[in-house]
Amino acid sequence: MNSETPESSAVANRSIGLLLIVIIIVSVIGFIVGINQGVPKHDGGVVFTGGRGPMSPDVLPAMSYDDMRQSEGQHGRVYQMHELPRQTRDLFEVVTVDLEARRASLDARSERRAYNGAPPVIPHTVDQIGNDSCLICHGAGFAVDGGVAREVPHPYLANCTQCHAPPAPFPLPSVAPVANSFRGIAAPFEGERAWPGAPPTIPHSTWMRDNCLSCHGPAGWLGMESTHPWRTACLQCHAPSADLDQRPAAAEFLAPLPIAPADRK
Amino acid sequence: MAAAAGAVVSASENTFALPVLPSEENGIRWDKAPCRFCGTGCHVQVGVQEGRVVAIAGDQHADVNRGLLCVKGYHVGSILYGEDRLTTPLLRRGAEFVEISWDEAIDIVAKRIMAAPDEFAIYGSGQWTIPEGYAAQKLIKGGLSNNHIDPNARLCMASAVTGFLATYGVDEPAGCYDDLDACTVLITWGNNPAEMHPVLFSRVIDRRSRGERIIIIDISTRETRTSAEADEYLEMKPHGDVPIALGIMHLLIERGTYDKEFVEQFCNFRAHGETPTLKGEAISFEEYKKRIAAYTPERVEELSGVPAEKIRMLADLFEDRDHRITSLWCMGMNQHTMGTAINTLVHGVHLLSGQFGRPGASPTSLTGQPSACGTAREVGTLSHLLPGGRLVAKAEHRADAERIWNLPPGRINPNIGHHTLKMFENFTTSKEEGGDISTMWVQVTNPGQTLPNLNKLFNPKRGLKDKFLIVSDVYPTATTRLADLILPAAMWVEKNGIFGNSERRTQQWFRQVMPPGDARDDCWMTIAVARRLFDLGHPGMKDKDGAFIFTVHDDDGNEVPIWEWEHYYDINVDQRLFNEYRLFSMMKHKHLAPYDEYVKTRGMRWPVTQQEDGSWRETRFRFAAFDDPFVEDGKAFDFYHSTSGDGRAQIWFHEYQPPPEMPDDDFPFWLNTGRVLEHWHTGTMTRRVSQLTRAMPSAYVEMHPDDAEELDVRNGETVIVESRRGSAMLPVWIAGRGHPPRGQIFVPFFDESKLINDVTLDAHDPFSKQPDFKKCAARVRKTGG
Repeated sequence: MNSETPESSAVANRSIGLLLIVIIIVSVIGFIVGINQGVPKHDGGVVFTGGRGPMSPDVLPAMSYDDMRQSEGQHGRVYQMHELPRQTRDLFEVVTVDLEARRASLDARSERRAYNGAPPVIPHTVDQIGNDSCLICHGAGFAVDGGVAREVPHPYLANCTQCHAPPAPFPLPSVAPVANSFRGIAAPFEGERAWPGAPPTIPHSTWMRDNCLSCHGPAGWLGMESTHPWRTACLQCHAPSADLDQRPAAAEFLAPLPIAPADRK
Repeated sequence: MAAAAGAVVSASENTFALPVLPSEENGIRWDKAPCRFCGTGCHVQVGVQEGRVVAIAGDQHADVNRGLLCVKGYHVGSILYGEDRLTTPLLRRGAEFVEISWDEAIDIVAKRIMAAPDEFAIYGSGQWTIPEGYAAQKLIKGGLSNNHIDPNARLCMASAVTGFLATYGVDEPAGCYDDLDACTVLITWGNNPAEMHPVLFSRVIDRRSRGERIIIIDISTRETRTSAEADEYLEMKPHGDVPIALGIMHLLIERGTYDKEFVEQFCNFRAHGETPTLKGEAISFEEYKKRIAAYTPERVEELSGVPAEKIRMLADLFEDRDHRITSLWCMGMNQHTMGTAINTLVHGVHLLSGQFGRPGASPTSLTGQPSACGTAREVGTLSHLLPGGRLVAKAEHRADAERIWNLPPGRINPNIGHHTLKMFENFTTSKEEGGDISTMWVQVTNPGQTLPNLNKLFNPKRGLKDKFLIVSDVYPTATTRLADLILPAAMWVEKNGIFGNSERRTQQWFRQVMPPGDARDDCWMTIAVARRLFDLGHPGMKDKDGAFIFTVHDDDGNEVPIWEWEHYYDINVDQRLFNEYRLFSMMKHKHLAPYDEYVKTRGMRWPVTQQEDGSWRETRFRFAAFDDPFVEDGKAFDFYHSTSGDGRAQIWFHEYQPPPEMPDDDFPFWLNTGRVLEHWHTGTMTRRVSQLTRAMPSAYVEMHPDDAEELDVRNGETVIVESRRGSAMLPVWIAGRGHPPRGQIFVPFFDESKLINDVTLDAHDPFSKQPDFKKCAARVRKTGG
């Protein structure tokens, strides 16, 4: 990396410009955080509603090709079988984090979780036997027609429905949530910063979240996306919590130096 | 028997200190607990904020689950907060219940017992914590001289127990979950761990994701999520497991490929004599060979429906010494009228082939409840057992229990009590007609939904006067419908507890939140009733020195009145009861460590022995010299509780017998019942969790599409499933979670609004007395016709 090519210096120049912009954005966010005093709590806790029935409206109902042909115009949705345009994304495009969008994203996330950290329930119908179909969309991530199938954030575990509960299968009635007063912890709004502009610490467990970009990448949640997607060594700057990750939390130090009291000098 | 293993094993290898917990961040206090549901025994981290559970995480330091849970485990925190929790004692007045005080409730229970101590029965549970079961056991057997105590585990794993006893002379698996990390072949016998023990199943199939090759063979009566992962799905007829096991053994012997060295050194052959007994009679290898010769692959195909070539394929696997084969089974082999027999036969396949006692080579029976092993089997809360594998019928075992309990000689009744089915039959039969149980106390279980043939064994209680049903529970259930007195119970992390999982692991936890309203610990209820009996003058509530049988002292030696709720948590009652119970654990070499050792770990697998350096060492592989400290010096294997007294295990022969009820013209379907991933047992807890009811809102009847077509039944249509005993109305689910073959239907039992046990059969295994919920004859009718 000693010899600097013209390309790399151009990148470097652009990077410096971008970095300045990022620093400004980060400062603004930091200022807002400062006003909010530390880590703001996201409302009073998670309440699982699931109240919109088994499927949320932004989810494509699974149906056969035969049904699709006949269903054009039904459900207010027309199925167009065409190749999706390949998006080439400019990694150095300026990303502005929309905090309102983040709030909306957190609300949407919480609707599918009993508490922050719970495996999300599945918002669409699934194969009752076998897991292969999950990975077709969630293996590498997939966006279609406004819907996003996020990439699996944890290493491939072979039994998807072990942790992720699907909606009621077709022949069984779907039911309203049962009366239960469990209130799960809410997702944190953001990590703590040592000072405005410092990289925030990771406010959630990293267990089963090996792939940061699943949520924070270009196809992640609105308002949570990384402002610097060209950088992929996330933990280089953002420190996880040993406590949340179930690693030894109490830092141990050597005994203090035996400094003699002043009168014994 | 060697005293203890020679080399001291470093503590970090087999036990480990608690590195993290309890810890706090963001005002959330995290602490460990085993999951409340199945027998896998996953550890969860419970997050508590302001006195309420607010989050759950898989415990990364737990050997069992290594940070992973299943969909029930992730939502276990919600089970505390269903809005219809029982919070006040309720007494029946006609068709209604009235709220009463705890003092009145305890008084009612004590006076019912006092009036007729011999007619009192306790029906308990594999969900009892170890101290809860131990206290109930001591109250009834040590205090009331009455042995009518049995757990719901009778319906669940009694045949596994008799299978272990008949084979090894002592209960519970020799191997452990470590086998799942080492096996090259996994055989599931009538078992669907992908849904019922998902964390264990993932432990195997996740190895495939890491590039390892593991052959999975699913021998089952219907296609399930487990079959979907299997290399071979062998569809058998009901009871087909018996000829399959016999067929494998026949081929190994005929080909001469059985493990001669292992068998000659460590095994005997066994069969029933004229009068069948659990121990059976010794037979020669030649005799064994002669009897089993009838089970040729072709004959096995005829009996089991599995092609002869597949039986040969199984024998090929078992004779390949490079393979390490682990068998898993649960209800399929246990809820079986040949339950004891098929359990011994699968052990036999492993012994004969030498697929035993090496990591990865093990016959491993799984349990369905979190402490079926700990509380039902080890504490011995069955009608014929005393703690630690002692038998009610043996005078020296009774004397031993009386010594540990400091009771006068002769206190323990020598007659065994009623097993579950007999207990309920006698409770639901009038006294005039011989029903000798008049008061029953049900703790931590729901027999009004889980007993087979409810119209015979439970529902008749409704019309009987002077039968009094006491139910301790956390929610209204199918059982509380007929209760006369309901006692609101604390659950899971609302109390201290200890469970024992399927792999002999004893797991401790502390109370982390307070129970709602007036709900209280089951163990306290038992002790409070004992004390009221003591006050009423029942002589059995005193030990031989006149002290109350549940006397406990604080660290200064002062007696603590733990029968008063406000003093129950002044000391750790679990610790006192466990350390007393621990004294029972040595006779059968199921040594437990002192309570405080379990506080430091995510459980330890017994036998747990103290090493020279004072540390405690668990045992992963029993009977094998490389790991079990009780194996005699110089032996590679030692079955030190052998029924033949020579340190050998028994390889059994049994003739195939057909199921007790077979489909016919009137009732043409096999009816199979079981569980689903999302709901645990009768659903009283999981059906109050929205994420789980959303996924599985209702019971259903699974059927083959061709059968549905023939009956003119559509997917989702409600039909009537009926047998000679009763009926249930259920929606049909075709090509759903499981795929039964033609002529078979499957119904899960979690749904209290669609009780399939009105339809099932109460025929049971002759030794284990465990009923067969897996097969009876039924028919399906359209509701209109």
